[in-house]
Amino acid sequence: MNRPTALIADDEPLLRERLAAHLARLWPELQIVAQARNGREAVELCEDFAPQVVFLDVHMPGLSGIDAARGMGGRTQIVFVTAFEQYAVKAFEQGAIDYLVKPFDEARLAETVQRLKQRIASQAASATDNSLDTVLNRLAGELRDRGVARRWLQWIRASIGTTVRLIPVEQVVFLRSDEKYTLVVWDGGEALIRRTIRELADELDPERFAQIHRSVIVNLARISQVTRGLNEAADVHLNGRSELLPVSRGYLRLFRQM
Amino acid sequence: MIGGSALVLGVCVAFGALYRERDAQANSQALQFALERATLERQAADSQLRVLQSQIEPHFLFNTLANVQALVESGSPRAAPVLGSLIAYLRAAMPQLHQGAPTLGQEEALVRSYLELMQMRMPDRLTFSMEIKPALLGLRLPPMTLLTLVENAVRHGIDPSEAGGCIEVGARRNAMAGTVALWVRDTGRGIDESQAPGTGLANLRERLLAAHGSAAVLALHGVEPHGVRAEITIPHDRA
Repeated sequence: MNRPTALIADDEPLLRERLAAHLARLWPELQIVAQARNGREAVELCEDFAPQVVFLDVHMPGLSGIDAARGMGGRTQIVFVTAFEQYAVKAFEQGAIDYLVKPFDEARLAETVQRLKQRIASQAASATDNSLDTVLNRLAGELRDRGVARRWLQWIRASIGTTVRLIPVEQVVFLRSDEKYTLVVWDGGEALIRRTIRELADELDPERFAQIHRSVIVNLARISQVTRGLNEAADVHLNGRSELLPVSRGYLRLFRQM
Repeated sequence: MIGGSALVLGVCVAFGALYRERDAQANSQALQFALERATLERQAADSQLRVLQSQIEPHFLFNTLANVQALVESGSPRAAPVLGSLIAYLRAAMPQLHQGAPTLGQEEALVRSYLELMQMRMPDRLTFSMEIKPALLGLRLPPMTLLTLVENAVRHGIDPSEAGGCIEVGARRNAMAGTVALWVRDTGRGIDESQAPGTGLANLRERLLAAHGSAAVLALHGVEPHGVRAEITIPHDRA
């Protein structure tokens, strides 16, 4: 009879070794065929070795353990290993997959081993596959949703001398187009960047920034007042600054309520 | 005669109005200052509170403990020094409400403990070096100033990168400018332009503002080919 095979994936080497050492004691027949340092390696090694069991750390650089699991198909028994991911733990409880919470003790691992042996023995495991995919899809969605809902520009890169300054957008007061370049004026100074006003207008959060003129974008939080001028134009005044920014007719509707 | 007194009366009324106007202006200015001061004080207290609340991340703690457990179980001689680093880190990172501003020397020890722990966890992905001039070790800083930058470098630069990178921590005095520069440079993944800035940096900015006023500057720079250099400049008259 063939020995059962397993893959261990964790970016922290001491934790890979510890898991391997405990498995060697609890399940001597199990053969650890490979160890992966990140999600991408885990998927590759899983394809190369087709192990029956994969122990997958959830939090790994590059591809997460959840995304790696989706790339492994349904033939492998997957056990997730996680340090403190309550959202994941909750989801695993609902799904058919086993999980270990780091740091775990040998008794808990022994339960997992017991469960794995049973599943491998009754290899008609295909019944679990559908529910596994559903859970994985949901988890992958949750992981992605943890980020910002919409990916607006949060940093502006500006070359100043020999360095590249990273300017958080909340410090930007306004942006003014200057032929091929755009002048960024922020709390810490001014810089020219090689991006057009039009590109920036598309990438900045419209709740925080508004284009008020063909060549000007302003940080709405920095406006102190807007004064009407001749020819249905207007000027924007800024908090603590003397510059006036022009509002052209087409953009006046932005300030109707003001 | 009547015209004359009317003129005098008119002038008096006008002066009276002028004085009242100036009084009102002075009053409103004083109020404005008081309001600004109160706002600043509240912000300082808020950011202090957030420092106290946001310290030890469970994910960090449990992963580190799992590593220590692995060392202890395998009988590694590294177990004791690593446990020492964890204790030093936890002690320094515990909420310290009544303690004043720590020195750069204390902050350096805290950062070193943290980086040693992270290096134990990801030995193939993290290297670090620290270069702080001994003359600066007595400098007072808002709590967690360097640690915030170093944790960011690990969390956003090294940890998400398969290849990892190097973290450099340094402090140097610029006698000409009368300032001290503190920096943390990493060669990790770098900042994605649409990545929302964390609350850590915003809180740090508030703490610096409360401690040193607007003369303290926190700036981020890109590192080629990838990585971030965070630099803090604070006024410093004489070491």
